Amino acid sequence: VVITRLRTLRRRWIVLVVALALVVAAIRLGDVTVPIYYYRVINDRTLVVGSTTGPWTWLRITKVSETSTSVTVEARHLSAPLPGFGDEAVELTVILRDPIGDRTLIDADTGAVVSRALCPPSLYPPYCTPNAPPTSQ
Amino acid sequence: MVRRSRWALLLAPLLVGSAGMSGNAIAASGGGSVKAATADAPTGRAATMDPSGIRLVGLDPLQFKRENEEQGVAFNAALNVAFVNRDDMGYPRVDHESGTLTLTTVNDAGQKAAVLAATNLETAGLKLQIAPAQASVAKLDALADDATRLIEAGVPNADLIWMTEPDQINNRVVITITRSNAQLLSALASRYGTDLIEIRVRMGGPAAALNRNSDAPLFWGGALVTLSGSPTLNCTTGFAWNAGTYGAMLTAGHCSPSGGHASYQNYPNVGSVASGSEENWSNATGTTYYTGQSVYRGDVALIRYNAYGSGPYIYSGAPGTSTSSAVAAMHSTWTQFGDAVAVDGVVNGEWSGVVGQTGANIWYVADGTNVWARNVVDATGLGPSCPQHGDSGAPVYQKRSDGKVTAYGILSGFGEFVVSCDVYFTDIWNAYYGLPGTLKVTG
Repeated sequence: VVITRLRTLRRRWIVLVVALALVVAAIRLGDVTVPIYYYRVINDRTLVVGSTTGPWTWLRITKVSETSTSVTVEARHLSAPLPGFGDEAVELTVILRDPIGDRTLIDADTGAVVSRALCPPSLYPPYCTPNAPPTSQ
Repeated sequence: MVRRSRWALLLAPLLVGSAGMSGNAIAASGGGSVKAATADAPTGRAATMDPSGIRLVGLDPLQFKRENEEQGVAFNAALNVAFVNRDDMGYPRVDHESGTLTLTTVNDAGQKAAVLAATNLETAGLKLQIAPAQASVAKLDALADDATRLIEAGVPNADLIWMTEPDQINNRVVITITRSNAQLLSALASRYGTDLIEIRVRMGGPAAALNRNSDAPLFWGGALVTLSGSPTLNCTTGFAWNAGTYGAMLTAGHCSPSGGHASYQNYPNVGSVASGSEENWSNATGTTYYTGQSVYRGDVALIRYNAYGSGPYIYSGAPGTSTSSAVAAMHSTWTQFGDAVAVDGVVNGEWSGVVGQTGANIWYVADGTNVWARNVVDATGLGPSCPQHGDSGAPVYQKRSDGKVTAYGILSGFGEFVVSCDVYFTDIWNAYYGLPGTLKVTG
């Protein structure tokens, strides 16, 4: 009886571990990089980058790598597996170790150089204040 | 109505003999009237002046804008005359207010060429004029070319220059810079003078080279577009559409649920969506009827551009791509079970799947308790790659053996279920029946 119980317990643990592993794998598969469309300079060391998010979605900056000539920024999002759309334009803040200076900003998702903007695309002058703090637009 | 200026033939000797480069110009209209025109008849918007003396111009293109196809043909003919005589003539211009088409010349040879051309030029009902210009097409081209090589020439801050184009209205060169810089403008004024150049300040540059994330006219499908509203939405353009005077574009209805303005990274506020009549979405309930209609037609809206055109191409490939495919045709039937389709949005790039359900109503549970997309098509494919937030409005199509695509629909939403991906789209026929206009195709 004891041996049977131990086997049952072990089997449950294995099922639990496998289930957890599947959940972790599913989360990792769903956690994908997303494009950055532009950046704005708030001050020497503070930038905001423009991207897109939606409901039940966790969007965040996951990596900032600085060299003397470039700054590479990676944004990732994790969405709940629910039917829908969600295309909200958002800005995320990036704090740099060194002043941005003349360095280019590279989007880790595409490897492309990101354009610098004075304003979010839909808030062009005179409807925006250049270098204004991040906005959800 | 197109008509020819035959009177110009009879008047040619008189025109050549009297006009010269005196600063007055000769007008030869289809009706045979002859009048003097000033050389520098200003058209286009008033410009402000930089302290360097260079004119600053706005974001609007300073190029010929046709009011109808006949005017386009007439201007094209006049432009060809100027190109053939590029050392002797400036850019032609059309003034819609006075109804004139003006050929401009810089010397006697140009004058003769213009008079000769006037004898058989299609004018689309516009009065034809000949006027002196301050620079030839060749001179403006050379200036524009030189302006692209100023970094090597050691001009300070020349890396701010990222575009030049002719101002066809005022016969000058527009130099576009990413931000205003007194040192650069002063250097440009010294190098070129202030009469032949204008400055436009607009963000862009090498980083904004033409690709799906920073599209430029003619606008294509598969590109990032930002639509004003609360909140502002980043979506993907679908297919170019024939509607109205300028270009138009399909995208998802939920990208502009109350109508609003459309912007691109380097082209703010270039178009708009009409609320109700040209979008069919409510954030509270999902699909709505277009104004005056009684059939649910998925989730599709029409962007009408203010001054720019759209082209029958879609960006195709990876995120950030600049590669494209021509749009050959609309799918000949309503989408059916088993059809293989592809979607190509700005975030996820290309995704392929197979149609499962048509005429489906889908609960967009992530977007609200009552939000239903009605009368859409459901296609399923393998995950984890799946269209994402920001791909809404993307073109749904089938690839052809000749490399072109057949339009199937407009992406509405998605459901990502780890190993599988469901995509919901509006059948292109619902756009056809629900909205004014037709799909733009290359054939």
